[in-house]
Amino acid sequence: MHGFWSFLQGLPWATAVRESPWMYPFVQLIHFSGLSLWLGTNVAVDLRLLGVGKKTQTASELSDELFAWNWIGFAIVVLGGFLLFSASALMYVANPAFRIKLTMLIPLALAWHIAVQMKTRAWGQLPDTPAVAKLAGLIELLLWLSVVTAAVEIPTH
Amino acid sequence: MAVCGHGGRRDPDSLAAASRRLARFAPRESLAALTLPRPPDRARVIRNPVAMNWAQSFSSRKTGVGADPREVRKLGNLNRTRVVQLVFGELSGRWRLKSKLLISLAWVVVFLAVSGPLFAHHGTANYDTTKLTTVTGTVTDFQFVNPHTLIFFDVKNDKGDVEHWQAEATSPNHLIRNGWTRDMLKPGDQVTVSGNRAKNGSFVLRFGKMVLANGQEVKEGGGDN
Repeated sequence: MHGFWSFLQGLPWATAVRESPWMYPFVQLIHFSGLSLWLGTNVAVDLRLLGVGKKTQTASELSDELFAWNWIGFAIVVLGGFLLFSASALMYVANPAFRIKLTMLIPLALAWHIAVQMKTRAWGQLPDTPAVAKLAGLIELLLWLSVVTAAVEIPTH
Repeated sequence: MAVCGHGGRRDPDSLAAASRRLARFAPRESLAALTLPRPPDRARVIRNPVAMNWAQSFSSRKTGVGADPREVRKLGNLNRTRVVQLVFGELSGRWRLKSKLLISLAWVVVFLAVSGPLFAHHGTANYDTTKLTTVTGTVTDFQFVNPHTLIFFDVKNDKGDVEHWQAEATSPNHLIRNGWTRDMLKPGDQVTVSGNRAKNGSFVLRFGKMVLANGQEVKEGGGDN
């Protein structure tokens, strides 16, 4: 596996991101812009499930309206994340915070998000959401918060 | 024309039925709200027949009793609005808006508090910033890379053993603007590096400054790193 990671970070574009003075911040820009779109739309729906937000729009309507932006944001954040990862693959695979983030927190939060997004159509028909929807929204908020916390911890480990 | 063509207007028969149902729960004056037809709001009704419009939900909150039978049913079950009324008394509209604002602000404070650690600067948490450590050694590697520039150098300690040290400086982007170059350090160069040592006691420094073999003093550069 070590061979693969060093092959990955030796690829021309990965080397460019690692060594160029401007490409790294640019790739960070991609990652964080996608993150804003992805988490922003996630949090908007989660908060609406929790009862925060305007009541004239149901959670189901809000979720449907944001659906496309939600997954466009996901595509951007994954693209930026992959570029950041491949620039220093060997460093990242050895980093405990990154390993926890990628192998545990992200799959968990992503699966939870997809389940909540599917269930929101049923939960979000009335202006007020049922208790189970509020709990699910809160858990999703906490899951993404833990993903971001793990990401922030990467440089200190 | 079919009665259901414009969602806002209510069928007189179902209106009467709703009035009868409402009468069991609601005081008399709120019945007036039912008999006043709302202007049709086509888009809203077509997309979501269940959702109330803003004016209706606001007026139902203001009176404390819903114009919508579903609202009345909820009031029967002692919903949150009713609990707030019971605890704090009937609030006037202005105070209701103010309390809503306060609740929103409270939410913001809660989220900022939870996300507090996210705002901490990530670069120096693992370094002891109260002490400055200075070591002299021979450069073995200089990695002018993102996100942080790394200087590797070997230091001979008092017992004559070689310690493998590493100094972490900021990003090449920042350093280039302050006069650093990719080839300013080469393996074999003598260097004296000062910085904050890692709290876990490993041979790792958060770069502060270095003195090159020719006596030139190099810092990361101005501003907040």
